[in-house]
Order: sequence, then C-alpha cells, then structure tokens
Amino acid sequence: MSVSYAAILWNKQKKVYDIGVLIFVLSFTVLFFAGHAVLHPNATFETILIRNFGLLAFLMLHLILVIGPLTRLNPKFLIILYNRRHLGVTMFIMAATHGVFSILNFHSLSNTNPLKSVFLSNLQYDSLINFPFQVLGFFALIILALMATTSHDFWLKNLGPKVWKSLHMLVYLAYALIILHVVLGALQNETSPILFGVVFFGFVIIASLHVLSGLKEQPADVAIDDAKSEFVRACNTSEIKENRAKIVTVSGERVAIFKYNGKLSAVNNFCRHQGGPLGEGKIIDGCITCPWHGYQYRPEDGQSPPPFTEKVETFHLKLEGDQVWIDPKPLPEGTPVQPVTMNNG
Amino acid sequence: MDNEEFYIGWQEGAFIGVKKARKWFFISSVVLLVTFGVTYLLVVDKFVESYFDYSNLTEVKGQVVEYPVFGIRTELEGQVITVPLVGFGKFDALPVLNELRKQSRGKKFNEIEVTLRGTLIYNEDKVWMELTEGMESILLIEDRLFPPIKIESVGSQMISGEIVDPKCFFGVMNPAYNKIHRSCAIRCISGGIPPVLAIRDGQEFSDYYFVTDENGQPINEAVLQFVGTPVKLSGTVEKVDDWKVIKVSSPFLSAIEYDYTSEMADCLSYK
Repeated sequence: MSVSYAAILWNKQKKVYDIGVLIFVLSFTVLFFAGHAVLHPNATFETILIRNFGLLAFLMLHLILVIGPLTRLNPKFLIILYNRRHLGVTMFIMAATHGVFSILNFHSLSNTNPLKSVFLSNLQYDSLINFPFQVLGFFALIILALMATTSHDFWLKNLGPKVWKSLHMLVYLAYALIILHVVLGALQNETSPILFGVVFFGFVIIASLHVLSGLKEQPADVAIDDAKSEFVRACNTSEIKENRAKIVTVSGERVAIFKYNGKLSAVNNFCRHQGGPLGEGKIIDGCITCPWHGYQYRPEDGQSPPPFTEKVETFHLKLEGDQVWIDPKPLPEGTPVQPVTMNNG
Repeated sequence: MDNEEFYIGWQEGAFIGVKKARKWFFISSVVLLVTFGVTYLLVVDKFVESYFDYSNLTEVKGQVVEYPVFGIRTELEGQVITVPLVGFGKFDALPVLNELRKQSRGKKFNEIEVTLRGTLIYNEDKVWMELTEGMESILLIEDRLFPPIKIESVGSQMISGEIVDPKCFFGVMNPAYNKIHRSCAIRCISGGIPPVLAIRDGQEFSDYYFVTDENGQPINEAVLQFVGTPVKLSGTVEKVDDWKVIKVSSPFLSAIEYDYTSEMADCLSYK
C-alpha cells in the first residue's frame, strides 16, 4: 500500500518471487535448447526460439489462471497471488517474444507489410480447420499487452477498480484465443495425440479449479434480502470469528460483516484496489486488511486511514439477541456508521 | 489457516505456513512444466535433415537454365545436378536472370558458363541457392558450349501431395510444411518463388515436382489458395535433369483440388 507511485515497491517476498520466476524461465529455456540439441539437432535456431517462448507463455498463463481459484480454495496461496502481476508481465514478455519472432520469421522480407500479411496471407476465415490461427494469437497478444501495460497501480487508480478489473478479466478471452491458436496451429503439424491431450488436460485443470472455487463461494452469493426489505437477518454473532467477517449478499452486492473488540461493522466486500474480497481479510491494527494486497479500511467508516484515500460503502447493522440484522441499503462510500456493540463482548 | 497466519504482501516477513505453500506451488509448477517440456521433446515430430548455410557464401559454376525454373546446372560432389536459384527474403531471383541475359550479350545460356555466389540450402539430395547479394551474385561469365538438356515426357498423371514454398521447405525453415507454415509459404510463392508439390511416403516427404501451367509457365498466383493443404493435381509430367515437373492443364482450378480424403485421414489418425 502506497500513497505515491513507484515502478515497483520491492520487499523480500517480491524479490523471492521474482527470482523464482527468473530462475524458472532461464532454466526452461536452457533445457529446451539443450534438449533440442540432443534429440532434434536438425531444428533451426529460430524454430526453437519461437517454440520455447510460445510454450513458456502458454504454460505460465496456465499457472496464472490457477492462482485465483487456488487462493479461494486455500488462503495460504495468497502469497502466490500477491505478486501475480509480475508473473503476468513476464508471461507477456514471453508471448511478445514469440509473436514478434514469428511475425519476423514468417511474414517479413516479403511483398507485403508483415502485419498485413498476418491477416491477409491465409484467407480461409470460413474454414474451421484451415482458419488463419496466427490472427487468433495476434489478438490474444493485444489483450495481454493491454493487461501488462495497465498492470501498474497508476492505471488502476486512473481507470477505477471496476473498469480495471473488467479489462483484466479479458485474460479469459485471451486464454480462449490462445487455446484455439495452439489447437488450430502448432498442433495441426504434430502427429502425436499426446500434445493434444496435454492441452486438454490443462484446460480441464483450469476449468475444474474455477468451478470448485465458484461452488465454495456460492452460498455467500444467495441474496438474503428482497426489493422491499429494510433490515434483514444476516447471521448469528457466533458465525463470525473474532477479527474476521461473514460475507452475505444484499442489494446484489457482497457485504462483509466484521466482528472485532465486541463490536460489529459492515462494509462492501469489494476492495477498491483490485476488487479483492475484504470479507476474507482480517482486522489488523484496528483496520480491515484485504487478503490480496494488504489494502486497509477502518471498519466504522470504510475509509483507508490517512494519508490513504480509498473508501468503500458502509451498512447499518442491528442486533436482536445474538442475531445480526443488516439494512440492505448501502451508505455512500466512507460514511461513518456507529458499530453495533455486542452485550457479551 | 489460523488467525496468526494472515499473510500481508507488503510486510517483509511471511509465516511458515504460507512460505510452505509458496514452496509447494513452486516445486509443483517446476515438476509439472519440466515434465511437459520433456514430454514435448520426446513426442514432437522429428525435424528433417536440412540446412541453410547462413552467413556463408559459396561460389557455384555452371550452366544457367530457365526451365522448369531459373537455376544453375553444376557439378557438386561428383554429380551433375540443377540447383534452383531464389532471391533474398521471400522473393524470386528473376532480376538476376534478367541481368544475366543482358550480360550474356545475345548469347544463349547453353553457350556460356557463369559463376554465381550465394547461400546454399540443402535437403538430403536437393540443393538450392539463395542469391543473397542480388546482382553482385554474378561473378563471372565465360564462353562454353553445353549440350542441350534432356527433357523426358512421363505422361498424364494425377498426384496427391502438398504445395510448398521450396526455399523454406528445403532448408531455410524447419519444419516448413502443413498449415502452420501456410502464411509464410503463401508470401514466398506470391513473391515469385516457384511452387513445388511435395509427395509424402508415410511420415516423410520423398518426391518433388515443380508445378507449372500446361505451357511450363509460372502458376504462382493460381496455387496460393491451395498451399499448405493436401491436394490432388492432374497434368502431364516431365523429367528435366534431376527434377520433375507437373504441368497442370487449364483451367488451373479444375486441375487442382483439395484432397479431402487425405484431409479426413489426417484428422482421424493424426496422419
């Protein structure tokens, strides 16, 4: 969390993370070239280069896509999520290297502009099996480039968290385009069904983890209010752990009800940084702390402590015995609300 | 995860539990990805033996030929072969051919011997040469009389294969066939590089035919839409020195058709 922009706010964890990624990329590349030298000595340098970076990008995209659902299934993986942007930018560099070298190799030094050639050399857009697969990779690369260039908090702040999040959800479109790019491209030249099986296996893993994490969160997404509701019953106080929250859905939004120091407060679950689930966070130093990147908000008014300026919506609560009731109407972001005090502390 | 193990990314330290998770994720990822990398290396299709002698220029001396394509008939390693000539990048070498016509001062090509310099492209028993330096590739033109080149008619045939761009196919790129190479092949052939019909024998390519129209003239534009896919060609076949030619009958499109049977077999059996 920072009030000013810096290229990267390094700390020990980020360094460990990035060194791990760097070691992996270099090791894979060295082994890939060495493997070709031993098993496929006739392969050209350009071919190995293009395949190496294409494969690296494809595999890293799979890793990136499993991190989100993994953290939902087990919060211990949040340490992997925290620096995911660096993994994403590294993956984009791999994909861009693959794309640029492919365009130079296959489309340059010809009678047509290389970029025009990507779109106009193979014109069988009406055929599935003969579809110009390079076009699919090109559009996926554009999406990845947009995501990489806007990955910094500067863009997050200026685009707003919802627009930024929507933009970055395009990674799923990029993944679909890349799967088609691979299946209609590289795999068409290979005779072994194993490679096709591996691509399918990767897709199944990603899809399964997303379905499982979705099923885990589904109960919180069942709305507990209707259009006419004023206060609605949310939960019992015993359902909320100390310094933690219970997530409920009212007015179509997830709301986190926190219990701390014998008090209860409710705020919108959507962190204004990257949309992290505040309700899966913890009260630390009197502040709700987002599990994704550690952004903090005061529970009683939904405001980040000065000098930070992020704000989330707050909600009125009331207690009837040990039952917690919530007013579904959200208050404007940063509105102070007197916390509800529990009699038994 | 207990309450003490809440990870905050901007803090310097991390709890043992989350560090273990990171270690587990990293090791699992490396094992999975290295397994995939090794599997890939083991199952990916073999690369044919071909070579582009990049950055090494070779001088070749012999007779200029214009049919079926611009080339130089020369002796290499004790055998007389025709080395087809192509230009730099994805272009033909016809500007060099025109320059040779000028410099030969009205003599026919079987009355002169030329020395050309370029980059060799090897593929088993086939050799091509890129005239990398353009007009500077012409080093010497001398008087010498060559006997006429024998052209043997083989008759009408229908042949199944794949139209490839020979410059990439015979060595500049590897692999350079099938759908993955189609766009590049289209660029090369539209740039004037003569199309070649490559015939498979099982997994490997074993025979090659230059593709021309019925008069032996270039047919590049007409074949573009058929490049990189299985096709059947019908036409008359000739043997010209160590190369074969299939002269497809007009109209071109009726003489070239997709080989759907082969395409279907590809899909069902992974070739």
